Order: sequence, then structure tokens, then C-alpha cells
Amino acid sequence: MVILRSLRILGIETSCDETAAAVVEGGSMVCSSVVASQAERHARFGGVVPEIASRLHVDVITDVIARALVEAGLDFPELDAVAATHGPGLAGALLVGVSAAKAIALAHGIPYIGVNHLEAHLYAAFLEEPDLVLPMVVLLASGGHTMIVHMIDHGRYVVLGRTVDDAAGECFDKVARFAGLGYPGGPAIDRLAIDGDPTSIRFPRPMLDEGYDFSFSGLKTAVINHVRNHPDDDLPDLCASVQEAIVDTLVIKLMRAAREVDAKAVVIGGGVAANTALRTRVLDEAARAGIRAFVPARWLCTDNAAMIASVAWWRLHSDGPTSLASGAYPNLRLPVVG
Amino acid sequence: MNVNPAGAGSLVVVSHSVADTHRLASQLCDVLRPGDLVLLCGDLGTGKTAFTKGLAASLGIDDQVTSPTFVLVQTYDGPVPIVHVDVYRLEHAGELEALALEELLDETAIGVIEWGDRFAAHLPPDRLEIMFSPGAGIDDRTVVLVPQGPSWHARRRLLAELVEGF
Repeated sequence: MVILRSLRILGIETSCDETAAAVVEGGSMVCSSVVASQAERHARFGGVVPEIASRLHVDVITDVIARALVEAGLDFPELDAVAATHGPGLAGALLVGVSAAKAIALAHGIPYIGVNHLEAHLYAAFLEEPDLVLPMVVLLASGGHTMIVHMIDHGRYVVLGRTVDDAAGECFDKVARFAGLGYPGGPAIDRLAIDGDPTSIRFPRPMLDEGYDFSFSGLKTAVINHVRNHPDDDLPDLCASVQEAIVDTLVIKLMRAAREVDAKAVVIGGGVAANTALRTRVLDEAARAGIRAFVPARWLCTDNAAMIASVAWWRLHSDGPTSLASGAYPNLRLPVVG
Repeated sequence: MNVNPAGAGSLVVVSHSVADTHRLASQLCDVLRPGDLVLLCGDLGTGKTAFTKGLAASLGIDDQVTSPTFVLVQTYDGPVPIVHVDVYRLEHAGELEALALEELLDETAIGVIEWGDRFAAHLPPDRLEIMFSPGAGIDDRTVVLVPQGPSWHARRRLLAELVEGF
């Protein structure tokens, strides 16, 4: 009989523009992690284009899975389970990973676990810190999502707040595109902001005093109006000021939430968590508040399959395998308690 | 609220705030029917998602309507569901196929397509086009309603009354 702790799980991630596969043992030991990014091929489109994304996933998924196994020094018969992101995401893209995982499960007689992509981001920090202390408050910010989650225990979440309009990453991307900085916008703004003065332009921090919800649409509009009226403004100053407004809003609410629920730690995840200013601010503010902060390596913040395999280990433990008759769920939400 | 006549069948209103844009959407609900298609056109930050929020609230949808830019398609269930689509990130009309719009836009729901003007020729011709553009004041938006196709031409008088009373 296989002892659960040593289970080796192959994770597959195809919900957006990265095709990724990873092998994780015991929920936290990363044996391999391969990410084939489509971002470069998407760059000329100024965004992720789904029809192309699905086709590219199909093109590379077999190779990505094979590389994950080779890097882990394993073959299919040595896997104990296989997992894939089954939502949320683009239907066509999700189906590529789900179908591959189900085929492997069927061919090798191992369990299949369908994973919630948002839940996987919450677990990314456990890959570096298996003994992470709960309860914790997680800021999950990406191109499609911005939320503050109270993780009470494994599998037990309360969403304290979320964006009421645009996601934080979407704000970065749209401002960057408007300023002609290309895609993805976050890293471009991050780079330029280093040479800028974050206090040069005072952009609004919407909904700062209203609970834990976010609104980035008004900030986006304010930046666009500013650029229209001041086309000759220094670009690094603009980037630094926009970034400061976004980071301010995210970190103030994250820390306030952590104090209110008396969390033992704060964690950040999602693509926006790769932003240098955000990472620095979270560490500083947490140190000042005397609370532990976990800022995962950048590769764990952006989409990857190691976090899929990690959360699958926990879900297999608590809920058992997912039926092979289940599908892909584009509008899947984070399961919450209460 | 200023009302101006505009060219060939189109109607113009000016919104002075996000609340105004919500109110316009709410009043438009009286004219909309399940199966309708609405294209929302206009630059970043002119009120397309805000309009959809107003529409959803008036249709009794409890969910928070957020920007569909990243997810491309978001369906909101309610007495009359809304299929909220955003084609901002698409570059080619061929990519519309991947969204399977013909399956999503059914007779029971109201379809709302942000940036719909980018692929106007590839979308069903019977539709209400709404163009948003910045107005004189920082929060002002000029909103132009353009009824297209027989079902909307038949409802032009209703739209005109709505615009006059706004």
C-alpha cells in the first residue's frame, strides 16, 4: 500500500497562456516543473488570444509532460496520481490539460484530480514552506483575479474581498498597452518604475476605506485621462506612480485583513505577486506589524503546474479522486465555507 | 441631461456620472428583450463595464459584474441571464469562432459584447449599438444609441422616448 505522504503526483496546467507540467512528491517536494510560456508568441497581439492559446497547448503539451517526467527521473508507471486545472479559465484551453490528465489516468489506472486554479495559487507558498502556519491571509492578484482570502485551514476559505470591476493585473496591462509598453504590461511597468518617482503623480486609491473589495477601473480611467492631458510626462515617473497606487491599495487592505482576522501569516500569489514593489512592501509592512510574510519565488507566483500537483495532494487526501466523467469549468469559483 | 438629435436613426444622451450610466442601463431594460444583442463600443474607461453592471442590477442579477477582458466570456444567471463578452484582446475575426458565440447567444439571454465594433461585420446584424466617448467634463460621457436591424428599428420610438425622458 502506498503511503499518502510519499504520493507522486503529475500536475498539468493549461488554463491560460502557459502550458505546464510538474511532478510533486508528498504535496510539497518539487521533483520537476516545466513551463512553456506562450507569452512571447502572444506579445505581438497585446494579450492572450484564446484560439491560439488552445492550439499552442495542443502543440506542446505532450512534450511538456515528457520533459517533466524526464526531469523528475520517472516514467508513467511510477506516478501515483495525475491532476489538471479544470477551472476557471478558457474552456478550450482547460480541455487540453483535462483531456491529457484523464487519458493518463485511464491508461495507467491511477486517480485523476481536477483542480481549482485559484485554490492552487493559495497553495503555491506551501511548496517553499511546507510548515506554513494557518490561519493565513492570502492576496491573490493576477490578470483575471484580485482577491483577499482568509485561509482558515486546508480546504477552508473565506473570501474577504475581491475586485468589483477590473483585476489588478488587468490595470497594469491596460495602462501599459495605452502607454505603448507592450504585453505583458506588469513586468514592463515594474522595470520602468525603478527609475521613476512614485510620488510624482498622485493617482487615486479607490475604495481604500471600504472593506476589502477593490476597484481598479477608476484608477485605470484616471491614468488614461492623465496621459491624454500630459502626453509628454516622464514614462518612468508615470509607471512608478501607477504602480505605487496599485501596490498601496493591495498592501493596505491585505495588512488590515490580516490584523482583523488575527492571521499568523500573510502570503501573496498570482502573477502580480511577481511585482518587485509589491514584494518589498509586503515584507516591510509585515515585519513592521510583527507578522510572518511569505513571498514565494516568482516562478511560483505566476502560473505553474507544481502548485496544481501540490493542491491535488491535499484534495486527494480530503476528497478522493475526481470522476473521469467530470469536465472543464470555465466559471469555477473558489469553494468557500459559511 | 442633454439630449441631441444625431445622424440616421441614432440617439444621443450625455451621462454625467457612473450613476447616470447605471440609470441609463436600468431604463434600457424596459426596452430590452431576451435574445437581444447589445454591442458596447468606446475607448478604455468610458463606461462599458459600468453600463453592464447597471444592466445586470436592473435585471435582478445578484452577482458582481466584473471586467470580462481576461476571461473573455462571463455568464451571469438570473431571471434573464446576461452573456457578457469582451473582444478587446482578440486580433482577428477568426478568433471569434473560439468563443462559440452562436452557442452562447441564445434566445433566453441578453448578449452584451464589449468592443463589439471591432468585429461588427462578423456579429449578428440585428442589434443595439451603444457608443461611449469622453464628454466635456472629466466624468461626462456622450452615449450614442444606434438601433440596427428590423427588431431594433421597430423599437426606435421606444428608445427615443427613453432618451427624451432621461
